[in-house]
Amino acid sequence: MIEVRSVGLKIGTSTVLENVSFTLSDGDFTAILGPNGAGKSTLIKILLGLVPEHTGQVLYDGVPAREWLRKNHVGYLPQREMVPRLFPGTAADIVRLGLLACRGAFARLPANAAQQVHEALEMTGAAHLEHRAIDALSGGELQRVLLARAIVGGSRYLFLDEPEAGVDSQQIAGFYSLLSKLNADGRTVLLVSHDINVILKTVSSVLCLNRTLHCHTSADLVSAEVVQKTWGDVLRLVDKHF
Amino acid sequence: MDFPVFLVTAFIAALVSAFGSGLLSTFVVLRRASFTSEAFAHIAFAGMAFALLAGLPYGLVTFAFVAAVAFTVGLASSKMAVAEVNLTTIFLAVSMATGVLLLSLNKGYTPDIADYLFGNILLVGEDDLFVLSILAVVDLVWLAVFFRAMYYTAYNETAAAVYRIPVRLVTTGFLVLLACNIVVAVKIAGVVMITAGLVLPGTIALLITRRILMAHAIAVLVSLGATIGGFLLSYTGDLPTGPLVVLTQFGAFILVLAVRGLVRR
Repeated sequence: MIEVRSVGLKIGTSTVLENVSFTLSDGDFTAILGPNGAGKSTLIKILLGLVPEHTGQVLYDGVPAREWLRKNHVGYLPQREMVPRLFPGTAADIVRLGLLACRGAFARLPANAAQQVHEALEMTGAAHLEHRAIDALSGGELQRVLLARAIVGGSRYLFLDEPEAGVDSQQIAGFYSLLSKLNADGRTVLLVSHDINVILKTVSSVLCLNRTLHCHTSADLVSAEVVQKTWGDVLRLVDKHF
Repeated sequence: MDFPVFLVTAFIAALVSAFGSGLLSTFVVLRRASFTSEAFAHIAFAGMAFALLAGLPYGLVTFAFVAAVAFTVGLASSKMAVAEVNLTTIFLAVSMATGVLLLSLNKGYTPDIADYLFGNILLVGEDDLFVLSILAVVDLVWLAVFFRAMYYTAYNETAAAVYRIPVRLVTTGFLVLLACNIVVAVKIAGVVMITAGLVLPGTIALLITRRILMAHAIAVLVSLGATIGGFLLSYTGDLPTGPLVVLTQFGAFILVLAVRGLVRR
């Protein structure tokens, strides 16, 4: 379980997040929705312990995040991961980082590490990229490799920041089907997305965020009023059947 | 053929130093720390001048000075509106100016500034060889223990931090190790050329291979090979050793580029 209590963040005079509180139960499949600049990615980074200067508290299973993250890790798919040009590494090398996380940076990798890496890549449809140079991957291919990295360590939590970015529209359904399967296997999934239409059909609950939390509700209860509160007048919820 | 003891000592010291810098070179290149290395070498100059003026142990004072500046830059740049690279450049220039000023104030014997700028392998004694050897062992142990952490930190620090790599420990430890190697090797290579020894072997290695362990091995071999080549040329041509080692490395760099160009065609 993840508890977020009155989390806030100011950068200079700018308020990025203000008084954000919510609880994620084990097994939740939750989307964070909101306009650009709403603080969605920042909230994920706070949960990951990457922004220590925030106010408020984050607790994993009742333990402060800083302490919990020393011994545990979260599978994380970032919005954008800069891959250094000509970096000497393959997709398998990058996925292996996820395996390292569950044991600690200085521990021996398990004897079947190569097999686990391969299986994770197979699950994300990227097995054919296993020995490809990491800087030679397209955006969509890199997303699949990074998702494999996020799941290989077996973390109970998966945080994904705009995971559909760079994925072909034909493959998006398969991508979300994979996330649903991972959730059904017991992982708590928290994702940031702009694709409201797909998300509302996939996740079980939604956090509507625009600097502050406007709602935390089940996906089928997201109404036009909630959308208007979160996005303002720039977005309208239109129900159209083609 | 009998070689003078000082020459043998100098040659062994150069090889040991080359081994150490070859070991670190690949990560210096991957972490884009070539400018930091250059800056440390120049910043060391002020530390050396101060040690000479105050009659204090050269190595410790110089290292303390470089470490203090490195920590100051790391701490201050996040609090001030000055990018770390710009702050490092400022300290580089100020350190060089301070070093020249301090040397000008020295009333006693002042070694030739050229020896500091370009190094003089023949000044290396058995004590220096001992320190170099210890440092080479420390470099090897550090890499053995922190290899994976260094690799993933060089790849992407945010990803490394999320996946429980101790990024701050690795980064700070590497900078301290780099500072130590630079301070110790400055006597041999000089402030101007020490960066070449830390950058060229790794650059050459990464042109040859995309496998990280192989790159490290190649970098060490290039570093050792260039040192032997530079020494041979220096001995036979009666020319300064340091510049010839750098030019030999550069020759290897051009050769690898040329071969790559041919292979691609």
